[in-house]
Formats: sequence, structure tokens, C-alpha cells
Amino acid sequence: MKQFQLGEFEEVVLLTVGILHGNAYGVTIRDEIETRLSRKVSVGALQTTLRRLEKKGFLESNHGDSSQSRGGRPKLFFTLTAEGKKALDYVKESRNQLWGALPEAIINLSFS
Amino acid sequence: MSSPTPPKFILRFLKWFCKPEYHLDIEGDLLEFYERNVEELGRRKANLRLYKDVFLLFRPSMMRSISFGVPHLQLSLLANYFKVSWRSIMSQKQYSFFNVAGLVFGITCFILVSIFVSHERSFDRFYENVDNIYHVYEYEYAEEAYLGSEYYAVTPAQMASALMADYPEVEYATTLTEDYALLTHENRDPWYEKGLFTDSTFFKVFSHPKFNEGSAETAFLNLRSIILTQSLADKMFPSSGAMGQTLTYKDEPYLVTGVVMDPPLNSTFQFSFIANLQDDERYLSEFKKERWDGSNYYTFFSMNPSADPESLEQKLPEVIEKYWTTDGTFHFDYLIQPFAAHHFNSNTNNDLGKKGSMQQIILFLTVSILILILAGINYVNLSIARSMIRIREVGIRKSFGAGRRQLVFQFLLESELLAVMAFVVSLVIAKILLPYFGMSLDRELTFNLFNNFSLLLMLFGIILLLGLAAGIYPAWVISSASTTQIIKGRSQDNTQGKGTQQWLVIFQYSVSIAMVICTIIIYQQFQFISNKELGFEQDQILTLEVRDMDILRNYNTIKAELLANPDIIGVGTSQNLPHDVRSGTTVNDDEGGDPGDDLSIYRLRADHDFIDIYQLEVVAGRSLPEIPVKGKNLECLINESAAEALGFSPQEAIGQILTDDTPPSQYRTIIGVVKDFHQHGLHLEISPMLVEYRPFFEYISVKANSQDIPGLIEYMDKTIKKHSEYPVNFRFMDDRVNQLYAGEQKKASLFSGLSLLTIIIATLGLYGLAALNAHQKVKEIGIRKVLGASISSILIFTSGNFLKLIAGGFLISIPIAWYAMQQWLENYAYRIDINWLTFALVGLGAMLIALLTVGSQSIKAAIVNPVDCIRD
Repeated sequence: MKQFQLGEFEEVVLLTVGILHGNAYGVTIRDEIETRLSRKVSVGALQTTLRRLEKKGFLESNHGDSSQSRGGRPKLFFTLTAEGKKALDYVKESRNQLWGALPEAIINLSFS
Repeated sequence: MSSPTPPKFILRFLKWFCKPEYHLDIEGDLLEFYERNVEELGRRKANLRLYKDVFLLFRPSMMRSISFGVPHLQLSLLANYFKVSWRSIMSQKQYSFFNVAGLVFGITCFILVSIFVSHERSFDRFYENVDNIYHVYEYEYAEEAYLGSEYYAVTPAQMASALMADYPEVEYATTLTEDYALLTHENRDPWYEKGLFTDSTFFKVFSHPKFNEGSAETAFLNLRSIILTQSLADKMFPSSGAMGQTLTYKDEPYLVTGVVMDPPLNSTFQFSFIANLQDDERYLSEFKKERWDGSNYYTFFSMNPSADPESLEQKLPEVIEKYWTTDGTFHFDYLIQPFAAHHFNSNTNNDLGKKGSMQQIILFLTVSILILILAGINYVNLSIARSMIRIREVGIRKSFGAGRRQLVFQFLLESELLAVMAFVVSLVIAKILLPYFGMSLDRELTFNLFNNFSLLLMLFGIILLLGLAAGIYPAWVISSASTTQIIKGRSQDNTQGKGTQQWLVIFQYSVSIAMVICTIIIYQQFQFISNKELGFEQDQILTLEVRDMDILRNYNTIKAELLANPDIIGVGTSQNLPHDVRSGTTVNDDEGGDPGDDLSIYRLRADHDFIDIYQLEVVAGRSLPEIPVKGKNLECLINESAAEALGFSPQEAIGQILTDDTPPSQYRTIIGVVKDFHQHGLHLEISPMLVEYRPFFEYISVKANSQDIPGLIEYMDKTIKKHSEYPVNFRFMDDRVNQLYAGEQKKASLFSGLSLLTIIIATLGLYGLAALNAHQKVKEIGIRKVLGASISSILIFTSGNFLKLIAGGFLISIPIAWYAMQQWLENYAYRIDINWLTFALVGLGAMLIALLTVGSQSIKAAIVNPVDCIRD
């Protein structure tokens, strides 16, 4: 079995890149996570994770055109690779499997 | 859109630590956040966020690996740089040629001068204890300095022993002198060689020369012993060793008791043999005198390293009171001079060895460094100009991701490569030119890659620095071009580079024009000197320096034999020749008169025939008698200056009596006054002089009137050889006079060579610039032509700016050249006035050369069919 283990934040990032589909770069990814999950993301953590995912082969990156804004710096766009998709599938499947195994009593349990 | 600018330092910090491959886009993200944050939250909060983000990025996974020097410099890349540099050099052969040629000129000249300077500075430095060796010399207060100097290198014969006895800080003191002597061995031709006459203490003061055979302790145990240098020993005794052999010297057998190494070229003492001074009669007779009364020998001593030379010098005048013959007043002092400084102290009369001049060294160094700078400027200028052409290459490199540092490195490598190429070529050329260069400086210079390794290393270092200095600015300018501008095809209008370029051209031309002006003024001065009448006949006069007593003894026979030849009109004798009167004395026209009235006067000792041969004009009274008067009362002539100094008109001077104030007193009756002539060339003014007869002489002068001079010389040689074993070498009087200025003339021609070099380099640079300028403006010129511009208006348009620069350089050069030449001409008592026409002509000439250089390029551009150039 291939290694598809993802950390929680890795999973979030990977999913967000997928969500942004073609418009995923540092700024949009951070915004997306922050708005959707309302949690603070530091650029350092995000970048480290992005590079790690790229190294694992789950993400690909391409430089975009440089524009007058951003001090003329190019954007680095990230896209999911087939491996990345598989990894997400694997994570989702394994979660579903686990969810499926959860007893009814627990599902209905509410902690108020 | 005005984008807010974040604090620079934080981005620099990011750039510093961040992996370069991550840096750009992360910075972009940060800037995007920043822009948004400024709009939403204000500048202060945006800054805080940015700091926080950057500090949180400061983590190992983001950091670059630690590297030194040029980043990403891999070997293959380096090889590629070399390849590209080489191609770039080769692709523009003309440009590279101008660059390398200029550099080669500059570097060659710098190498030559460096070899010369290091030779001069090494003079006498090879003695182990050189810092403790001193030379005693004399300072004489005189109203009129003898031959232009008040210092004398000689001391009494007893000085060395007095120093040893009276001053404990003196370790060893030695006496020495130099002279030529005739050495014979068996029946072979005699050797006429220069010898050093000294005592065995010499080897205690000086650690050189080292003995190859024999030893310093034993060499002079016997009076009749002589030490030969290795080269003379090999010449005289080629088969058997010299050691223990006998040779004939002063008609007596002498035993060779030592063989020493030849003195090196950078030694003050130059000799072929060393003879024992204790065996010299003249020395002994002086040495035996209880009171000192004459200075004829050189005294050197080694001092205790812990002693203070200054306090010793202050005590030295004691010896004058203690030992000198007294007449109550002394007008001289003894001083000491470190032997290490001996070579550069050229202002002392009768001094030993070849003299160097710090001034000259500084002059040549300055000129050669200037030339090097000019060549470097060419490089800078051409590179900047060419950057317009290479800008496309830079653009492509940049768009492929070349960083600025890589570009700078590549351009630097290229300039270093050129410099090293030029260095290698220059070494070869310098090696070939060195002997000629040495000749014009009166030095035998050698350069050996291994012996002069440190010099070579230093030169190489300087060359690398030159490459760096010449390359850094163009590299900077070229690599700073903005990528987008280049890609858009807009040729960069580099006004800053242009400004620098123009200043550099002005500098080049001010230097080279100043040097050319100086050269011409120097030439004019020499022209003036060689055309100036010295006041005595020089034509068809042959002179012989006499060192053989046999000639003196048989002089009357020799004279008669010479005069037997119908081509010989006159034969005369003298102690000095009229262009170089060295002897002097002090006289008073009133016996026992006030010593304040004493007149320092040069003394020419000559005979009746001498006056006739040199056609010295007697303006009052009569010439020296054919048969000289004998006894205590001498007859003498004086020159007009002497008559004036004594306060007489020429007529009044006749019959006056001059007395010598040093005992034994001599009385001279003035019988005639001769017209003034230049008795020391034109460096010194005409001074008072007396002419008197003396039986001893050092020169024979022969006046000839012959069509067949070589035949005559052969006849004279044969005649003299009958009476003397010494080599006979008749020399023309006019040659001797020219010899007075030969040293300076050679240096002047060297200087003119250098100034020619500067003008060539400046022209090369200008040519290159003009070529590139025309190349760049080819389209503009085409369009102007289409619109109806004439060729002449195009010429003015392309050349006008260059001419302005040269005019600027010319203006700067005028005061510099004028000042330098005023200083130089001070050396001459008889000198030309600086003519403003010279300046105007040189300025005009420079303009003309520049016009031709620039014009040839402009015309090339101007006559091209506009269709051809606009179409591209």
C-alpha cells in the first residue's frame, strides 16, 4: 500500500488547492482557509506545507506571469496531481470507513 | 497605481535567509497581503503583520543552505562562462584587439618600469648588515658650490683609523678607492681593469663579495697580493685556476690570494679585482702624515646596531679640530650617511658607483601607472559603449534567470581574461625590450621568471586588480539594465554611463596632450643645448685619456712623432678637457688680505698648444708661453668672469698677482684674459676660472685636418703604442661634449616613447568609441540623409562631441605641462623659454588626430546608402 498519510493541515491545504482549482497560490489559499475554516494561517506554516506536499508529489507548481502589482514578483500556482487526488480519495475513504464503523449510539450522542 | 512600499529591511532579511527558489513567489504573496492590509487596516498594522509573517517564515524548511561566495557556481557553469567570454572576445576581434593592444602597451610599460624600480630599490641591499653601514662624507660651506654641490664623498686617508680609535660605537672602519690598472700575465695582451683598492677591514664591514677561493683573513696577509673576481680569474687563467698564480701589476709580481664572486649589478662597488691599499705609495704617504691636509679616500664603517647614528654624527666635527692642519678657520663638517641610502644620494661630488634618482623613479612610476590607467579607461569606455550591443545578450540571460551577480561575475571574468591575456603577451614583449630599456636608463637589467618571482607575483596581482577595476563598472552598468526594457527592444539610453565615458576621455586626453607638450619642450631644450656654442673649438679634435706614466715621460718624443704627420696640426696637453673642468682652488688678489675676499676659482691646467687647439680667444694680454716659466712664480690666464669677480676690467687684470691661501703659497701673475666659455656644459653657469701650466697631464688633445680620419687614428694609435702598453682609445671631442647630455637625452627619448604610447592608447580608445558610436547611430544617420543632410553636416554631428571632449582635455593639460616643464628647465643654467606656440600646435595636432580618427568612422557611416542601414 502506498503511503497516503496526510497530516491534518496538509489535508486542509490539499483540499483548498483543489477547491481553488487553477487559482491556488499563496494568497488565495490562505484566504480560503481563513474564511472557510475561520482559523489563522501563518504564511510560514502554509508555505512549509505547500513545499512539503510538492515534494511528496501531491502538488505541482507553475509560475504565473509577473505583473506590476506584487513588486513584479510572479505568483506560484499550485495544482493537484493525480497522486494528490488519490491521497485525498484515500483519506476520504478511510474516514468514511471509520465513520461507517461508528456505532449508532455514538452518532446520536449529543453533548450539550 | 501607487503601491505602498513595505519596509525594505524585512524583505532583505527574507531574501537573505530564504531559499532562492522559494523567495520570489513568497515575497510576491507577502506583498499582495501587504497591499491589501494597507488598504484595509492601515500602514502600521500591515507592517506588523508583515513582520509577523516573515518571522514565522524563518524556519529550517525555508532556509537556504549555507553557501559562500558566488551562489550556484558550479564547475560546468564556470567552464561555460569561460567559453562565453572567449567567444565574446573572439566575436568582435577588432574591438578586442584595441582593448588588448592598449592593455599590452600599458602593461608592458608597467612591467619594464617595475623591473627598473625594483632594481634601483635593491641597490646595495644584499649586504647582511647594510643597515649598520655608513659612509662618511664632507659638507663644505662655500659661497659658490663646486660643480653645483657642497658635498664631497671623500675624506682624508686617516679617517678610518681615527674613527676606530676615537668612537667606540664604530665597530670597523675601512678606507677604499677605485682606479683602473693594467694587469699582465706572461706574454699575453694586458688586461686594463677597474680595481677596488682597500684593506682587509673591508671584509669586516661588508659581507660581500664572498670568497670562492681563499678567505678574507688570509688574502691580504702579504702586501704583494691581489684578489680577482671570478670572471677576471676565468679570463686571465682559463685553464689553470687563478689561486696561487702570479701576475704582473705595477711592474711587480703579485700573488693571487683570493677569488671572489663578481659584484652584482645592483652594487655600488663595481670592480674586477681588489688590491691592497696598504701597498699603495700615495696612500701610505698621506696616511703617515700626522696632520690631515687632503681628502682623497672613501671611508665606510659599520656601527654597533645599538648606537645612535645621530649622536655619532654630532660628535664627528671633533676630528676636524683634533687632526686637521689648522689655519684657524674651518669651513667644513663631516656627516654620515646610511649606506642603504647611498645609491639615491646623487648630490655629492666624487661619489662612487652609479647613482639613482628617487625623482626619476617616481616620474617613471607615475607615467607608467598613468599609461596603465589610460589603457584601463579604454577598456571601461569600450565596454560601456559596447554594452549597448551586448544588451540583448544580457536581456536573454536575465530572462533565463541569470541573477545580477552572475552577470557581473561573467563580465568580470571576461575582463580578467583579457587582462591576463594581455599580461602574458606583455611579459614576452617586456623580455624582448628589457635590454634596450635598460640601455636608455644606463642600467643592465635582467628579468628572470624565477629570480624575480615575488615581483612577478606582485605584477600578476596588480594585473588582476586592473582587470577587476576595468571590468567592475561596465559589468555593473550592463547588468543593471532592466529586463523588460531590453526585451521590448528599447536600446537603453544610458546617460550615466555616457557621462562617465566623457570624463574618462577628457582625462585620457589631458594626460596624453600634457605628455606630448612636455616631450616637445624637452626636445626643444636639447636642440637648444646642442646648437649652443660652448665657446671652444670641437671640430676634428681627438682626445686621449692618459693613465700611463710612460707617456708622460716620453711626451716630447710622442708629440714630435705625432706632428710629423702632415694631417696633424697641433698637439696639446691638459689635466681636464674644456667641457669638464673639475679642478679648483681658492685665490686672493691681495696677499694676506681679508679671507672674506677669497675667490673660489676653477683651475684648468693646460699648455700653450691646448689654448690654440681649442681656439680659446685671448681678449687681453698674451697666451701661455710656449716654454713655461719654472719656479715659484707661475704665469696664468684668467677668464672674463674671473676678472669681473676680482673687480678688474680685462686690461686692468694683466699683471695682477694671485696668491693661493693654502700653504705652500703660490704666486701667479696674470698674463692674459681669455674669453668666457662654458666649462661645465650648460647645466652650470660660467664661473671664474684660471688657466695655468702644469707638467703632469691627464689628456692629450690632437687637432687634425684630415680627410682620412680612420687612417689618422690608426697612425696615432701606433705612435702611442710604441711608448705604452695601455689600451689607446682616441675619442672625438664633439662626442665627449655630447656625452655630457647623453644620459638625459636617452631618458628624454624614453620619455618621448612613453608619451607616444599615451597618445596611441588614447587614440585607440577614441577610435573604438567612435566606431561604436557610428555603429549605434547608423540608423539615425541614414534617416538624416534621407531627409537631406549633407555628408559634412553628418560629420559635424558625429564628431562635434568628441572634439569638445578633446578640447576639454587640452585645457586641463596646459597648466600641468607648463608647471612640470618650468620645474624641469630649472635644472639648466641655460634654457629656452616655454613657447605658447608649442601648446597651440600640440592642441591643434591632437584635434587633427581625433578628427581623423572619429572622421574616418563617421565617414564610413555617412556614405553608406541609407536604404541599407534603415532596412535592418
